[in-house]
Amino acid sequence: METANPCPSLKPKDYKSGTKPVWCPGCGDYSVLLAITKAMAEMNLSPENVALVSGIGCSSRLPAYLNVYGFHAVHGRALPVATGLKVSRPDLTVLAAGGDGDGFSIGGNHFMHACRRNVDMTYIVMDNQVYGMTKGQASPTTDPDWDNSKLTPGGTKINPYYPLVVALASGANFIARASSTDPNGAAKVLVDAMRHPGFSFVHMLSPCVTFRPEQKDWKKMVRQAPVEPTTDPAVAAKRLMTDDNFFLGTLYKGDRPAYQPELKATVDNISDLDKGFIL
Amino acid sequence: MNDSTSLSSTNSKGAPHSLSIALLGSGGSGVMTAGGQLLDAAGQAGWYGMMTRSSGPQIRGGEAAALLRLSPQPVETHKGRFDILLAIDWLNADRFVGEIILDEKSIVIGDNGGTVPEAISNMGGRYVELPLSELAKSISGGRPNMVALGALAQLIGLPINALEVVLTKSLKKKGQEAIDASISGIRAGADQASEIPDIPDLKVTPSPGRERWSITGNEAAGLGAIRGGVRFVAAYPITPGTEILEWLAPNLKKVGGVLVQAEDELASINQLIGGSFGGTPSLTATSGPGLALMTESIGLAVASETPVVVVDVMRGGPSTGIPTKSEQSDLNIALYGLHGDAPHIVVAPMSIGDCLFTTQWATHLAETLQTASIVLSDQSLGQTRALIDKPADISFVSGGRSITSKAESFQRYAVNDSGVSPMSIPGMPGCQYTADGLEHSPTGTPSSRAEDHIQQLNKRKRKLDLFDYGDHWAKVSGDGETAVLTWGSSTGPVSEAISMLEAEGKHVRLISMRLLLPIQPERLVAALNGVEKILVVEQCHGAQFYHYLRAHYDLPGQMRSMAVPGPLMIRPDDVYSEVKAWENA
Amino acid sequence: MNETSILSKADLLARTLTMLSETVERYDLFADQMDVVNNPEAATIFRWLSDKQNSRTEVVKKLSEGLELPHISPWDYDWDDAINTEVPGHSSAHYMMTPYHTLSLAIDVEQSAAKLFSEIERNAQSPETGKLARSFAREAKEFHEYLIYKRSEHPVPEVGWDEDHDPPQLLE
Repeated sequence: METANPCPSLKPKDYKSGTKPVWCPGCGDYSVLLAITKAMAEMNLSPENVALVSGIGCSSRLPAYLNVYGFHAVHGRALPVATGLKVSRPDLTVLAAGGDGDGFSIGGNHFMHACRRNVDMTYIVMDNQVYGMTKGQASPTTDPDWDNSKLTPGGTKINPYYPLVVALASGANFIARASSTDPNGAAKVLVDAMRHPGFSFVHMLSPCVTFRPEQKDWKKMVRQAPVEPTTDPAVAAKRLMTDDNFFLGTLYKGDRPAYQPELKATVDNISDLDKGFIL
Repeated sequence: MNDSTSLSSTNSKGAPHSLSIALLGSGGSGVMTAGGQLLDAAGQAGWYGMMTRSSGPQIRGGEAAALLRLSPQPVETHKGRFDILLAIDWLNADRFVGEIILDEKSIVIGDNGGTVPEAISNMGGRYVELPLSELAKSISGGRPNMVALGALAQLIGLPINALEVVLTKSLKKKGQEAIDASISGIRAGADQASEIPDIPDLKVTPSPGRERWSITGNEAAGLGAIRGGVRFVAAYPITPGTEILEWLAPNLKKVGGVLVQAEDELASINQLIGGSFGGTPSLTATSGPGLALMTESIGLAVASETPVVVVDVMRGGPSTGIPTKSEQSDLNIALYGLHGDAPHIVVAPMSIGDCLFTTQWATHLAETLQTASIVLSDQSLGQTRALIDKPADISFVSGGRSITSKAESFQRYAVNDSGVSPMSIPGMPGCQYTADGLEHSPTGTPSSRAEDHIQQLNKRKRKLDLFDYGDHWAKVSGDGETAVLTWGSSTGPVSEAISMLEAEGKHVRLISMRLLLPIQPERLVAALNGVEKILVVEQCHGAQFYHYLRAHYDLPGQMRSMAVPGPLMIRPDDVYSEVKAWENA
Repeated sequence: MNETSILSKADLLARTLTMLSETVERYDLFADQMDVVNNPEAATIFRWLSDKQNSRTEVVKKLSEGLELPHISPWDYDWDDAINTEVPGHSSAHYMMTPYHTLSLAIDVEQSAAKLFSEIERNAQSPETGKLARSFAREAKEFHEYLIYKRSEHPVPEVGWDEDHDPPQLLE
């Protein structure tokens, strides 16, 4: 286990903004918010040196509830915003967060390329297998036979997307699953993720009590993965392909160097650039 | 200069004395390289000029033309008519017929034994054959394009040593042998051309002295970005904007910035928003289809008041359209493409050199006013290389992004008189806030209250309306009761047409608008004071500029629209004729 | 051997403080949630619960004065997931919950707390720790009983208490 800070000077609640969430009482996202604040406190991060970027959706409301710098961007684009921020400000701790629709459907291309680019940031996807803000449509992770949405009568009949498998294939440097039903365990995974260099992907199970009340049972279904994190992508591939979506913990830790161009001027004066044009 | 006999000064109308040369060839013949070297050598010798590349749709092996205009005075547009057409070969040369106009005074030069396509020979001109490939073969490592270059230099009176300087510089990496072979080719071509009988005096007298730059509009935009403080660029390649990125990637690195090649335009604009949120002035370059993809997030930049700059190098549209040719048809999407009420900046450079100033200014405005700036350049400005005087090194003394670290009562979206709220950047303790595309209260908390919406809408509009844009809003010159109102790359031909009219003793006003949004009704009305006829010139089938003027400005007198789609450029003669026709109507 | 038995006094105080203050925060959060969903009755009870729990926190803080309490990372609570049961889970709130539900939630919390502290007392190695655990267990039991009494003032909810006559809202 990574060593925790011996004496954090800030408490988890010091990372909260005080704005009251719009989430439904009972929503898993409250636990994720708590887990994030616990992880930040454990790492003794100064709130002003942390930025959390989100897209659109229930879980993407998260930045407003934190006392760090936040960006509530458009649907599906949290990762590009976070990429631009981290690449130009490598001194900051950058997180991106959102839901399964935001990250895997409208933002799917960015997810793949963020894994591949491997910028040092942590991406938390709160997966509840449903679109909550538009009244409960199927998302990419919804089971094919879930038929509670008017848009997909009889179910989607489409196989769900396996985000961890896609993350590994695309080059993510850290892959883990956590659950809102265990915020303390989730805090540990988040600390690991933030400390690991490169792009860290945390698949966060977070039940929707309004549109998927049956997900309350997830609490009984999740369990700690009986394995240590592997650094071998081949081992990880087998692990993730046979995963039943309820194993928790850090499943893969790669050793690819993070993408971070050096931001150091080599000329004293920008008038140096004129030389290329002078005849 | 002997103007009376000079073929170069065919127009006695007041346009700059100049020579127009078209260099044609296909796949691997090296006409683009030779054209570029001719332009640079002309600059070395003290001329001004410009060169446009025109080519077919092939990536390799297609037909290509280097279109040059050289002059002792700065030139900003092609004339259409060419003094010399030199073809290394004639394969598919007829596709350039619309672009290259010849008359009986033109000289057409081809390789020995070639057949001039009818479409070209029909236009007239005196045909001369030169043994281009034969001479090239006689030199070890010799190439026909170098022979052609030598012949052209001889015909126009360009000193061979100016070419030698340019070649030595450009071929340095290939070694002395390559330099020697090229110079031998040039000399052979020059010797051969000197034997052509009865050549009229094509010579243009150079005007040396001032430091001269060789630059394209795309490079100028890149330099303007860096001068404006841009240190983060994220972009997806697209013709004809890519060269901005190609120039910026290595040069940003030199100044401690970075260019990230994004996965698509949705990513590029959003990466900019992230970069700018972190305090780094950020810019992207694209073309119409890319701008269309970016519009949702440009709205986010406006709503979250995050400065970003988007340079749209326009091409023929809609859809994939004509990617390698110019058109001014993205005006509407730049002005009106954002959803919701989203006040932002739209500016347009009016010449190749002005791409530098306008991009720098756009960055300054975005940073000062915490909003999105769209720069409407186009293919003809972006991809044309021009010889210009060293551009002024302008720095804006006031303005720029006002960053506050004052934590007491910090409100990111505070409503104040100027409309520009204090902005903090990550790292500043006590000033944390969440930037939001949701409507928000002054603190940034999401809000759907009518009161917050109207306050923030007013604030975002007010900050643009109250700002003093000074004289930069437009170029206004001349007087008289007729005015030509134009923008962007159409300014070049309009300006030259007005010079032609002035040479006839006519008085015509030129107004070219650099600032298109926010609108400047008072300034434009003042500039048009006393005008009775307004001709609106634009390279756009839908007359978007004309309709924009009709929608937002209360203009005096009669208006007429000259709206011509691409891919052919508007020529000075076209504008001249339009003004004359209206006068005589 | 149960790990709870190795607790020192400082360790027990540190864990109890964390548990209590997290419970206070959770009740506050629930109260805020009930404000947002326009359930003032439940909000009022959660605020009252928060106050009660807060005064207990103050007492434990006083007991800790002069002692250097160890920092325990969230994931190092090894009380058989105690921290997740002593502090009411986020999922235990419901937007239509009645005062009866609200108090039942708190009753469960106190019952678990009493059970946990009794367990610690049984396994405590030092008499001092055992005594402290016993007093915490007693407090929890007393409050538990009081809450049962309080709950009896409210009617048992009828079947269908959570039936909503309107569909959920569209947001974004």
